[in-house]
Amino acid sequence: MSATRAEHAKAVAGSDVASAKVLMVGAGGIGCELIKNLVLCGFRDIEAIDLDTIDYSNLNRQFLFRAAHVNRPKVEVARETVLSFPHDAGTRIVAHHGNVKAAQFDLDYFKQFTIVLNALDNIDARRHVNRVCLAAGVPLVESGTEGYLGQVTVIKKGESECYECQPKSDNKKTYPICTVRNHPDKPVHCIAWAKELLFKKVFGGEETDLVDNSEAAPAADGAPEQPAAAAPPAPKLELQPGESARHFAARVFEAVFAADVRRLLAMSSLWKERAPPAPLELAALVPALDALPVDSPDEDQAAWSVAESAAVFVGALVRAFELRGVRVGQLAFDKDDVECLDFVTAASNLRSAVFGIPAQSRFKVKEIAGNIIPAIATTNAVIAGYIAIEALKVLRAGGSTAQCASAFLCRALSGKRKDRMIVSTRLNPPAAHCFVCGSASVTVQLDLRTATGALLVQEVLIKKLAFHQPNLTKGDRGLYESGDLDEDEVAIEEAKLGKLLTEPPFSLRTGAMLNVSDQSQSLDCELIVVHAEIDVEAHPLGFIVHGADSIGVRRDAGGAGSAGPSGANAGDDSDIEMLDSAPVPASDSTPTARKQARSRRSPSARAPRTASN
Amino acid sequence: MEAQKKQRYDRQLRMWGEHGQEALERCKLCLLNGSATGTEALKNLVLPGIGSFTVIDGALVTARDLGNNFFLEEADLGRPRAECVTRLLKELNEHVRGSYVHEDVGSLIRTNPAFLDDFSLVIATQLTEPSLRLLASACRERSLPLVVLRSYGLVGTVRVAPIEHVLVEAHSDNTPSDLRVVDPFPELLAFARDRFGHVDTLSSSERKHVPYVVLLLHAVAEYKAAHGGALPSSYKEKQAIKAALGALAERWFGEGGAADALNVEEAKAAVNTALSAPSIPPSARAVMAEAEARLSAQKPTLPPEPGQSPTFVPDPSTIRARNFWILAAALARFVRAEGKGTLPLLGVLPDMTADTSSYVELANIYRAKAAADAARVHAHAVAIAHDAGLPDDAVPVEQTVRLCKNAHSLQWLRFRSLDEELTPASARAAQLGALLDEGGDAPAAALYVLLRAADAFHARYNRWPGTMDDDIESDVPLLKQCVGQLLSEYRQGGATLTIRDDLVFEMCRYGAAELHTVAAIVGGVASQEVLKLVTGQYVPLNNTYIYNGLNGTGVVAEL
Repeated sequence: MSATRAEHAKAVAGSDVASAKVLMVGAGGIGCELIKNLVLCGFRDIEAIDLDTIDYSNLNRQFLFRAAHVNRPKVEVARETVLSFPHDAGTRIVAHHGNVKAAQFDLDYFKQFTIVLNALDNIDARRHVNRVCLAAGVPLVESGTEGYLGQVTVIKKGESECYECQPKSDNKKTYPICTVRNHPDKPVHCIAWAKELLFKKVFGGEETDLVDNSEAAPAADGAPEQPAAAAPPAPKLELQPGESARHFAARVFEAVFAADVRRLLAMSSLWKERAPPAPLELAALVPALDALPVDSPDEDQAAWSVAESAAVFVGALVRAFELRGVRVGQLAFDKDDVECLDFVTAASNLRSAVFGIPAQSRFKVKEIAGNIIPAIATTNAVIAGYIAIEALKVLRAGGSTAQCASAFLCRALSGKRKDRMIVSTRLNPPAAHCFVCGSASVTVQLDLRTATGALLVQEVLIKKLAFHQPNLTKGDRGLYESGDLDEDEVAIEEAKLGKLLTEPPFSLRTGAMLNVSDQSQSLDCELIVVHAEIDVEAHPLGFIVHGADSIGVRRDAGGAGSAGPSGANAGDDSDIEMLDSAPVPASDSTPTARKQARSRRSPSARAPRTASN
Repeated sequence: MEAQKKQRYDRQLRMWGEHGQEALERCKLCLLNGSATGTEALKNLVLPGIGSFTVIDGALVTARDLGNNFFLEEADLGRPRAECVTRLLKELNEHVRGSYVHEDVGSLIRTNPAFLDDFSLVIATQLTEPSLRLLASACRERSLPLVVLRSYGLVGTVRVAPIEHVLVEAHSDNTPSDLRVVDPFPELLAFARDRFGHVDTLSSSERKHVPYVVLLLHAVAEYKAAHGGALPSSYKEKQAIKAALGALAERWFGEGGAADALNVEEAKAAVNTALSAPSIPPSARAVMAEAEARLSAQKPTLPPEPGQSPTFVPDPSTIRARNFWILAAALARFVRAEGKGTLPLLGVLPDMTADTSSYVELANIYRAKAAADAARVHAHAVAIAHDAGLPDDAVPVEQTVRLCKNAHSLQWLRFRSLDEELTPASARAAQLGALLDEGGDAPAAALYVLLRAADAFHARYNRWPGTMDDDIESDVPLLKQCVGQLLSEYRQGGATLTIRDDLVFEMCRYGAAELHTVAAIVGGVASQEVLKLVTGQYVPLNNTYIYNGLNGTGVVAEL
């Protein structure tokens, strides 16, 4: 080559890319495009982190991967493919197949980079990288795409808004557990039941009662209202030694679509204002069980009939347990596993039939159960191009974000900005009220009569506030520790989670001022705990956070860069969450629950969400 | 669709469905010039599974290509670029057929434009203006959609140039409210009467679960009875309906007792939208009028006649357009006859406070009515097809259903030709003037004129400005002359544009270089628009996108 690419970039864009050291977090949809752009711009020192392996459904956009690469780590294949094409002499790409939250990627690790580029698919990892980059003082280009929409922005401590300064649309859907267990009225409730409860019971051996007995209104003498409500639930639904999978399927069917439904019917107070459920009978739907074909049906777009769902229900269990020889505990829900998806689709539609709810196609169930966000190459290409351009601007300005902008790729070519397909705005200054990059404190309201250490640590600190390894202190008294602990210490800390917050070691009273610190994120903030009675209909999580309440914990879809766990529960890419801890009064009415669900899922159809694929 | 494809395309099927994918897989794409900009666009179409592509390019691979084009290898140096990029692009997706023609694009357009007959869409990149104009005319003669893209230094453009484009599925975020409260259909009235005829006898709890649609029907009926059959239409009259709903709530629940009656609140909130008579948007009216005009002009079903090549076979996009016009005419007939001035019912019941069984029943009533309306529209479509000598099943039922569901957002877009854009008499100077405010120091209008000036420079000197050895400076005054000439043309068109000298210098500095990142962005935008044209879904931009890499902005203008 006559001139190197780096010399070319220097000449045209004025940026010294040859001496820059860049970190790319995520090697999925945006990441594939981005690493290509970086190498073609003449960047020579690149490190990339990604947790994920290649799936077949990535191939429609993640162009560095081929069918032969399926199941290999994305970051390694991306590196190999890019380096197999022409590049400047001395180009070095280091691929880390791992979680960006892992201990090796600490503050010192981040400090070695000139710039960090996010190509992530989940909010949790984005928040973590945001915090570490703020602490390290390294400029961060943040990005996301969803369908035809996308966005790019640039973050630097003290210069511009951080990832957590602005409310993020919280698309996580939360349903009160009793709606899911006892009186669903939407398809999504039935899907949540099938995926989160029944699947884990049948394939995971979990001992849970699928019926929530707390809703049985006690009679005046304190006895359950009808004897049937107290009928013993099936404690476990497991394939027994010597039992045929067909027989097992019939047994599960009878237990959950007939016996449990009769138990629910016995809770007559539930059905005063609701249409009562109707039990199903397998024999009526599948007359010849032993001769039933077990193939997965082709029909994907139209909803199956009740009889078809019953047949698929049996068929999926037979295929999983007999043909594949799956043992209990071996199979976790995977939206791309045909048995998993068939089972959840069939079970949710059978449950819908019980409650008079419309059935859904397998295609739709996959989307909801798998939290799938549509994704194509075109959008990723535009957004990754913008990331590279912003990176060049940061380098040209010697690490400053002064010339940078936020860009939004819009779909709606209408309204006031209809002539702008890519809306570009100046970066906003940091928000003073931000508990991450500003100095504000966070206040959490919870019911101190019932709140436990688990609620505070796991729900508030980790899931809501995105701490990775929180340490909790009050004055000079340590309340809870996590992070680098040995086994005995872990056991001690875990035992604290079951304690009430009013008990030792917490001994909190309303108004308590605590300090939360997280060494892995170099973040600490003040946390004020205030007692309040929580209306769980309005706040099904069982607490209210002020000072950071707009920040969501939504997990975005898989398929793009996942250098972090896809949300609070690693490996679970669902955005359906149910809440066991939140007691719901028996007066909880169907329409109100529906109203709640609506108000939670309404935001942001228009603005590009910060997803990424 | 086979399972393997379904899995591969899962994430995009959720955007355009299997029918969109089918349209994509039938598209025969032609890429003129396999430069970085062209291959970046093509890559994004091979990945989602375009039917086939052919790269036509007479260039041999240079060191410069190796520097900015991802789809080339060191060993390709000196080999035909069309062949090399085709080999590597084909690797992206085994379902896509790829071929190449090693021939100079400019001379092919001049000598044998009939080569275009093999394709259903053309993407052209990095062409000189004379070649581009010839190509655009040839495509227009064939009703062949053309998308032109270009990257030039830090600047890029995308020009979308079919003659026209029709679309059913705009995927708009705003679904119109269509509850038919104002002029309820019999089944809806029967439901309200049978299920909630005696609202006053319901228990307090039951009253809170009366769907708000029923409350509105009730309030409107009372209003009509009291006003000699007149409907509430003005703001004031709608306020009266809200007051009536408030009064009803008070009667039911006592003063202040309605505070938690969500259904009453929902009814009040819906008064403004639900009480407007269902209207037909002007864009949908225009589509129906055009459809009927084409029908009465004895060429109801076809877009402008295709080229007269003997090898011409109607292509799926032609059939899509044909069916669109048949269905739009059927829709017009429905509106006049059964619809009594309204479009078919959408049949979507929004979420509302209600007990499950009455919500489900009500949703089914709306769904059934929508299906009945669609069946009527389909009967009209069959009749029109029949009269036009087409088989009765020319229009599949699912197309009718889809059109009815999207009747509010039907669109017929017309695109100005490149000749209209580039000829001084018809150039849109005013639109360009409006772009002067876009892009701060480097207005989009200035970049557009500079690109045209570079074309004029090329026409005059047969090379791009700034490409003579290392002497950039000496080309600046020459390019300024070209700029001056264009500006005087635009001045005659009524727009006073000025272009700063430093931008002229900047343009010379680019030396027509294709930067990979700009190519990636422009290629991304262009391929996105191609997907919209091919799938017939989402609204494509009309007609020019100007990317400004100096400050990262992008604007759309109809030039």
